[in-house]
Amino acid sequence: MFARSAIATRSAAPALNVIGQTRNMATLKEIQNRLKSITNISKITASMKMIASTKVTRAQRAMKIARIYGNVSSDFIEQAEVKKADGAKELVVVVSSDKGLCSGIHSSLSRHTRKYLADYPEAPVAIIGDKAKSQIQRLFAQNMTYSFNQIGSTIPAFDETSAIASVIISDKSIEFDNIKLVYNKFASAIAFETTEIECFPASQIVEAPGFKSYEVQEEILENLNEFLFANNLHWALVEGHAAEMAAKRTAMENATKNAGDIIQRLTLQYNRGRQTVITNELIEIITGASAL
Amino acid sequence: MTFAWRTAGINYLQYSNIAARALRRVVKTDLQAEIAKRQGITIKFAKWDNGKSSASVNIPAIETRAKVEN
Repeated sequence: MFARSAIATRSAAPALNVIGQTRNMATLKEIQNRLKSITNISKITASMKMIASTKVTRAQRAMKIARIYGNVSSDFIEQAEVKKADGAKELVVVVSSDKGLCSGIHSSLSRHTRKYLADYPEAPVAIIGDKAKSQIQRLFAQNMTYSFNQIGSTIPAFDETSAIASVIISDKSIEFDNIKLVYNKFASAIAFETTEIECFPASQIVEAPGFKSYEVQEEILENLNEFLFANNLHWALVEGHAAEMAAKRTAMENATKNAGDIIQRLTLQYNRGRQTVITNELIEIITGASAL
Repeated sequence: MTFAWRTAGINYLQYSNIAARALRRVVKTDLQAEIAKRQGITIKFAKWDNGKSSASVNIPAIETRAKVEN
């Protein structure tokens, strides 16, 4: 049920084929063009890596703060011993983002969600971010209730989170009791783990054995519960953002490294080719001269 | 105990955001710059029905707020 951890390092193997194809037939001009384009690509990936690394540090700082808030709310749920009621319907909220080029971040989320939906084919789904949306809608368009986009280019603000949370909780047409947040947990600078956060409805919190010791009035509980959901969602968004930026940095670092390898091979091939051309020309001249 | 704002149809999140915005408006000028970075919501959403999505629209509560403030 729980996530397989995905390591965000993956090398770009297909690049080798390119060289294989051109080994025999490529003219010098072709190699030169390819060299130029790969050099440009590596410049782009190198600068994307720089951008991602500055964003990672900021995102990690924000994540530390959001984690504290998140831990407070999960501690409450733990201390009150809130249990999921039998047969409770869950709404799955997938916390992804709009931007790609960050290795398996989004596909790991959608794989996790698809696995859940295989067990519970009726579960409604709300998706934050275009990437996971396009992956999930292909198979589970019927389950979709909401999709959000244009988020995740910067560190999500609580204002934005509560706007999303308000849309979800104020819609009475979707039937659900619990909310399951699927997000990427930031494990380290090179690894993330797709995890879930459970959010409970007020009715299940009231029934929890440890809840009585808190002496909370029912009206306030509803407020608290709305806040807990937004708090968890914010935590998921901020941590997911940090994981995405870290994955993007590793992905771009690998891309730059691979581009460097290809450039090296192509330069070698280009120089060899040029030498062969020169040698051939020399042979032609010499044979031509000796024939006279 | 019923909260007046809940009878008016807003939830706790919206209520606390209104309170937070009121607070943000009165902070000292040297902190305003830091706050300004976090403002401006661009999120759009689309409601899905029976496997089809409607066009993406701005979140209504945010739109009303923007209208009131400008």
